[in-house]
Amino acid sequence: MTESDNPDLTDFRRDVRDFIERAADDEIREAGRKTTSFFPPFAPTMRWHRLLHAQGWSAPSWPREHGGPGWSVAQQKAFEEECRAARVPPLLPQGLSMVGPAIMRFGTEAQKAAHLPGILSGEHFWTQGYSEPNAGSDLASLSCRAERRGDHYVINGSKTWTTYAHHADRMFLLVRTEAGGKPQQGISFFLLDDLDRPGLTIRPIIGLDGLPEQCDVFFDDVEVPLDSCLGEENDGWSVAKYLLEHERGGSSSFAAHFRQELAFIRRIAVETGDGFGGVLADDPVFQQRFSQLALDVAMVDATEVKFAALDKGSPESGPMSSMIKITAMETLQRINELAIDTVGTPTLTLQIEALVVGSDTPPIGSPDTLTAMPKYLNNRAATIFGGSSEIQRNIIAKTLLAP
Amino acid sequence: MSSLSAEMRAMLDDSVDKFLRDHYSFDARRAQVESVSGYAPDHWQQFAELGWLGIPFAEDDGGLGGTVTDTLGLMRRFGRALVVEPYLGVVGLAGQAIANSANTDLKASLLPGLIAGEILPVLAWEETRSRGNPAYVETRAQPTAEGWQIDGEKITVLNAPQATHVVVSARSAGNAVDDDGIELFVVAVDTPGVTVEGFATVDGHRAGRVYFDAVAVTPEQRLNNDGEGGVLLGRAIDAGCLMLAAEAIGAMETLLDKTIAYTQTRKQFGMPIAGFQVLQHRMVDMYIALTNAENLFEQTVAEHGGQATMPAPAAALLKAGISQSARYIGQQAIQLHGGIGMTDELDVGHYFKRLTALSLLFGGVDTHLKRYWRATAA
Ligand SMILES: Cc1cc2nc3c(=O)[nH]c(=O)nc-3n(C[C@H](O)[C@H](O)[C@H](O)COP(=O)(O)OP(=O)(O)OC[C@H]3O[C@@H](n4cnc5c(N)ncnc54)[C@H](O)[C@@H]3O)c2cc1C
Repeated sequence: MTESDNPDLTDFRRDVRDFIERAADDEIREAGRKTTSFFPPFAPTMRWHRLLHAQGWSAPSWPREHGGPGWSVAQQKAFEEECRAARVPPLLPQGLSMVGPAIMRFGTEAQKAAHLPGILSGEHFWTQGYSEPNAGSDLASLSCRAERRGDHYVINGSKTWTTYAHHADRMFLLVRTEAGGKPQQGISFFLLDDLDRPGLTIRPIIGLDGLPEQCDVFFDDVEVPLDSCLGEENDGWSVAKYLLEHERGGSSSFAAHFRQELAFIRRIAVETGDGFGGVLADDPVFQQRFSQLALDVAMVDATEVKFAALDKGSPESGPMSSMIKITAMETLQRINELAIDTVGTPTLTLQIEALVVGSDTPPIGSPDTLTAMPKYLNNRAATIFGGSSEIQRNIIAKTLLAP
Repeated sequence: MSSLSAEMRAMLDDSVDKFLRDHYSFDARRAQVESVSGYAPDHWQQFAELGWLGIPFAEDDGGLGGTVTDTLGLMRRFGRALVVEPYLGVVGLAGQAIANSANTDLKASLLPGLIAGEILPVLAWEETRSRGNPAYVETRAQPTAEGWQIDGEKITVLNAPQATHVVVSARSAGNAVDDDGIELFVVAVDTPGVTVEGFATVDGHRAGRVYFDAVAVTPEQRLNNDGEGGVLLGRAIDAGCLMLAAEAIGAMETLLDKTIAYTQTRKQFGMPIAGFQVLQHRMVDMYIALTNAENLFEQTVAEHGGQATMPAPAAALLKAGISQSARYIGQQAIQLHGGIGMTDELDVGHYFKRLTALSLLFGGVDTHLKRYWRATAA
């Protein structure tokens, strides 16, 4: 990890390591160790977000004018790597990597001033209200609608799979403000800065791992102010698409994340018997699977670095963000699968209580292996959310095969 | 092969279908999974009354006079309904170790109770470092004046928290990796020195770690003759693999059916998603994975089901093949359902989790492919 660094990153890395060492307390580290999906344990992660903000480091990829640290791409990458190596929780992406960049691009000065500081500081958590029961892959067919009535809009309909809505105090969502025309027309992108509104109900959904992560959100005559639109009314689709590119291409660094997962598997393999008196790490089949994944991660890394330098919204960036999404998420799933295969049957133990941050239920078996199965289960979603792998392939095909 | 008549087997299959239809809705199953015991003891009693617990045991022992092969129709149906009762662990693994035992007194003292549903013996063979190889045994059986003293730790003991007895493998001689020197003892769970750390598993079943601390056993508690423990254990696990394969096929066929049905009703972009060619091909690949596994299973049963010991290469390839198909079909079923497949509410995720467990139990793909190589390398 360090060999390709140019020398002046050594100091930078040391500063990052020192800061984490000082600032990340036990609870934050525990949250990092107990992160089993793209969505780390909420409260300690937001606390870590605020601590990073106090240091000026909560949004490595944001431009300086909005509070980013002004780091080079290499520094951002080094920062991600150090954070992953220290196993602190990754920050939640909805604000920093999704709606934040969209507000910078499409927001009025008033909107920027109203929303960006809270996203940067971690004072506010935004949840993403795109999907609906009947509008998943076909997002443009969404039917949650907002009608102008006097000096406000009235929203009716529902959203689903809304990650961490039960923790959120803000929500960005897509609503239909005009019927007729192409499905992409008449959609508006709303910013809701208060979820505590009459008619708005949030119901958590229990996931495969037995814990709530996504939610259903119901709107029954929910009134919101007329200045809720980000971008033009009825032109929310452009905003939505821009945001999706950020979501897919990972302003977060997948490669750093995946290398940590591989390091974790390697540690387990060194200690795990192969059933014949040796250890798994010496087994050629294990070695082959492991090294193949190291190769896959190297490709994710290389493409990600290329993508980071691209102007989002340019003709190449859309398909490339789809390509990263496919490659990275499918690689992650294979990594998670190797992890359960490496741990073996002890991964079958259901350990919901032990996985809660602050729990006094001790893990059964090695604490290192606690997260392997929840990750395997939860990350099956990685090829579904943010546009499924099938949808990403459709997007690339459209460009690649264009006449 | 099967030793029950075709009529008898058809009757059994019908009775299983009827029972599951009447008592095993997904909601009823969920209530059982969430209960303290993790299964329904009254179901178990009905299994006994219906004769199911006696299928693979000799009539002299109080059974129906069938073989493991005769349980496969039931196991396949259990797979379709995601049954959580401890049939595989009790009637399969432990039951087969006992049924094939040379210790006729011990057998006679246990089988009637097992068949009547009064005792639940389970098999404790896996260890931290054994990785699907039953011959890898670190647990010691140190000879004493009265018999042996057992010390060691077993992991992933299926149905351990529900058990009344544990059939445990322990080594009286040799090193952990030797094929020889393995003994099988039956120990009541309330014996001093036996500790069961029970837990739920991700697939809604129960298992546990079992610790043996200076547990005294006598020759009356030993299932095997001198030098035959390893073979007896291997036979029980291969029988378990066959039953597991049947269950996996049941779960896979249901999951494929559910996926086809869902994609035909779920509409996106103005049409059923089953209309997208990429999903059609995926479902065809799921079908191929299922059908090949099923054919291999049927052929393996036809060729080796009746033999006392399944040849290791055939047993290894069957488990590897079933595990591969289970993974693929489970993963793709989730993928094709989209977000709804990731929820606890829908049964699809529960099939996926059971198939994940079945792919890991008794050794996964890599372990069995390695076993194949070792068994065929001259
Ligand atoms: C863990 C998780 C977190 C999520 N978080 C959020 C969130 O915070 N906010 C939010 O708005 N949404 C969120 N989602 C929703 C996610 O974006 C949708 O699940 C996704 O868009 C797929 O939609 P769907 O679930 O309705 O599946 P469907 O669209 O019904 O798709 C089912 C299957 O059909 C395939 N398919 C559909 N159309 C085509 C086609 N044209 N060609 C080929 N195949 C096709 C899909 O690839 C998939 O395999 C989340 C989902 C998950 C699982």
